Amino acid sequence: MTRRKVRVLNKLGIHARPAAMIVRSASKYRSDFFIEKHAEAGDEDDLRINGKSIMGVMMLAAEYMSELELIANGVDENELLDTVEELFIQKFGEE
Amino acid sequence: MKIFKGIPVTTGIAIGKTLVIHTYDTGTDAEQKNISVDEMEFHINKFKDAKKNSLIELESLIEQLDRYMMAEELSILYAHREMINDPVFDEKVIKSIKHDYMSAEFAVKKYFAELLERFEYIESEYLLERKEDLKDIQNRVLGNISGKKASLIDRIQNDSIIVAENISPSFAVQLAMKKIKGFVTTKGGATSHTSVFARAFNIPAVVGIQNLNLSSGDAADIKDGLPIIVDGDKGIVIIEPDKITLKKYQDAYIKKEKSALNELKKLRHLPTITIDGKRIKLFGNIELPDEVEDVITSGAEGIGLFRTEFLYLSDFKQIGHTAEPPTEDKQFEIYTNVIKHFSANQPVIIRTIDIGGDKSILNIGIADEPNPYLGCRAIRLSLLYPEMFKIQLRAILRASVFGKVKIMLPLISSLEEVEQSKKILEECKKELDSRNVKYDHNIKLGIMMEVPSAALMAEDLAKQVDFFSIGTNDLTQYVLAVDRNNERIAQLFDSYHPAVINLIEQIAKAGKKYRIPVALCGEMAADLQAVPLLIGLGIDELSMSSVSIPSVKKLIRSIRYNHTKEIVKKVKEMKNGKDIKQYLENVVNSTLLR
Repeated sequence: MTRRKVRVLNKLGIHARPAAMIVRSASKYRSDFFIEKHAEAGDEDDLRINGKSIMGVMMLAAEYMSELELIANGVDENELLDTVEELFIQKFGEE
Repeated sequence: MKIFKGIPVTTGIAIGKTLVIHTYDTGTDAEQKNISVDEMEFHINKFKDAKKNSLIELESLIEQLDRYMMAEELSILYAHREMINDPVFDEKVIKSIKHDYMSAEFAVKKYFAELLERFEYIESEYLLERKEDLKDIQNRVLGNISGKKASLIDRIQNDSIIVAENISPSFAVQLAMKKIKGFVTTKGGATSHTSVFARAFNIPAVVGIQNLNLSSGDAADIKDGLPIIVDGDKGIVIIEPDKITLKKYQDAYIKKEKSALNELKKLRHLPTITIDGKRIKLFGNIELPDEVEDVITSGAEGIGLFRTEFLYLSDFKQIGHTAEPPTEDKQFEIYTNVIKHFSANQPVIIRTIDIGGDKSILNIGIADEPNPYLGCRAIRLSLLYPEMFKIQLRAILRASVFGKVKIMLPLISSLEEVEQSKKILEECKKELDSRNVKYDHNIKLGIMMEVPSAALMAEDLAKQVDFFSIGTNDLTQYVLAVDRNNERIAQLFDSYHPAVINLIEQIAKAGKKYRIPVALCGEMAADLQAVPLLIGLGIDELSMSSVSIPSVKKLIRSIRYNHTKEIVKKVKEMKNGKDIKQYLENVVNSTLLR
C-alpha cells in the first residue's frame, strides 16, 4: 500500500469535471484506490472514499488549496498514484 | 410593468415572450415507499432499466453537443455519464432495495439526498453549483423510473424566453441548441450550467433573481406568454414593459447593432489572419465600376470578381436592340478606371462575359433557348463569337499595365475550352504587339470552377491555368441539378450538400498540388458559417460583396487554422447539408463570442 499527499491547486476545486478525470484515470488501473480528506479543526470526521467512484470523489468537496491523501493498494499502485498526482499538479487543465 | 434584478451572465438584450418552466416534480405523496420481498426483483430491474435509459439519453445529448465541438460543455455531460456509471451508485441503491425494502424511486432519492446533504456544508459557490449536476441526474433517473417526461421542448416558440427556477445542464443544452432567445432563472450564479451554456451560445441571460415568484398560484409574478425584456448588460428583467420602456429597448437593440458595425470598420486596416497565423486574402466582387469605392472602404485587398456583363446589358437597356457591343477603347477606359484605385500588388480579376442563362440579351445574337443554363452561355458564347471575345481580351490586356490584372474565364467545362481561349489570348497579344501597344506579358489566366466536369478534372486544369475561383452558386446548381430560381425546388438548392463540399475540397487539393491559388467567389464566401469550413478545405482567397468583408475578416481573426481542419473532419462525417449547416452555425456562434 502506498500513500501520497496532494493539494488542490485549481481554483474551482474538485467539481464534477476534475472528479470525472480522477475516476477515469484511476479506473484504468487494477489497484484499489481511496482518497482521504482529514478533518480540520475537529468539526468533521476524517472522510475516506472510493477513488473510483465519481460520487465519492465529489463528496470530498475538496476546495482550492485543501489537502488530500491518495491511497492505492495493488500491483500497479505506484503507476496509479503517478497518474492521479499528475492531474492535481496540472490543475486538471484549469486555472 | 415589473422590474427584477439579478446577476447578468451574457451581455445583450433579448425581447420576447415568457415561457415558464416549473421545476420537475420528482416527489409525489402517492409514491410507494416500502416494498415486499416479492417486489424486490421488479424494483431492481426497474432501477437498472432506468439507469440504462438515462445513459442512452445522455449519449444522444453528448453526440449532439460533440457535433458542435463544445469541449467545456461536453465535459459536464461526461461527468454525468460517469456519475450514472458510478459503481457505488449501483451498489448503494440495490442495497437499499434489498436490505431496507425500499422502492427503486426511494432508494435513488435516498442516495442523492445523502450526497446533496454533504454538499450543504460547502461554502464555495462553484462547488455549490455542482449540486445542480446531482439534481439533474437524480431527475433523469427518477423520470426514467416513473416514466414521467417533460415535453417542454415542444412548447418553445421563436421568441420564447425561458423563465425557470433553474435549468438543468442537459436541458440547457437542448434549449441553447433550439436557439432560445433568452434565459431567466431565479436561482443559480455566474458559474451555473445555465450561465455556461448561455455564454457558449451567446444567449442573453439573467440569473439568480431571488424575488421573482414562479409559483403557479395567485402570488405568481409571471405566467406564460407575457412580453419580457432581458437586459443582459444591466442584469435586469422587465415583465410586461410599458410602451416607453419597450421602445427604449428596441432602440437600444438597434443602436447596438449599429455600433457593432462601427467596430467592424476599425478592422479595415488589420490583416486577415487566423490566431495561429494563416493568412487569407479577402477580395471584393463588383458588378458595376462605381462599386469600387465600397470595396476600398471595406478593407478588401483587391477585386476577386469584376463582372463585365453590365457592359453589354446596360448599353442594351439604354439604346435598345440596335446597340453594338462596347468598343475596345470604351472597355479599356472602364477597366482602367477601376484598376487605378488599386496598388500594384492588389489584384483586379476581370471575368470575361458571363452572358446567357439568366442574363440573355438579344443584341449579340443570342437565340431564345429552352434550357438556358445548359445552353450557349459564358465562355461558350465567347468562343462562338471570337471577334467579340477578342475585343474584351485586348481591352483587358491594355489595361493590365496599370496594375495587377488577371483574366478569369467563366463556365469552363473542358480542357479544350482552356486551350482555345489561350490560343485566342495569344492572338490578341500578337495583335497588340503589331500595334505597338503595351500590356503585361505575364498576365495571369484563371478559370471559374463551377461545372462538375471541371471540378472532377481539376488536376488536369490546374496544370493549364494560373488560378481557380470556385463559383458556388453555379456549382451547386449543376451538381444537384437544381434550378435555384425555381421556387418549388428552391429548398433543394444547398451549397452545404456533402457532394458540393466534396467537390470544393477536390478543387482546393488540385490547386495545392499544382501550386496555384484557389479562391471562392460565390455567395458562400460571405456566409459566415461557411468561412471556417472553406479555410479548412484549403481555400486561400475569398471574394464577396464588400458589405460582408468586415464581418468575415473579424471571424477569420478569431479562429484557428488548426481548428478549421477539425471542422472539416467533422463535416465530412455528416451526410446531409442541413446538419452541416447547423453544425457550422453553432461553431461560428461560439467562436464569435470568445
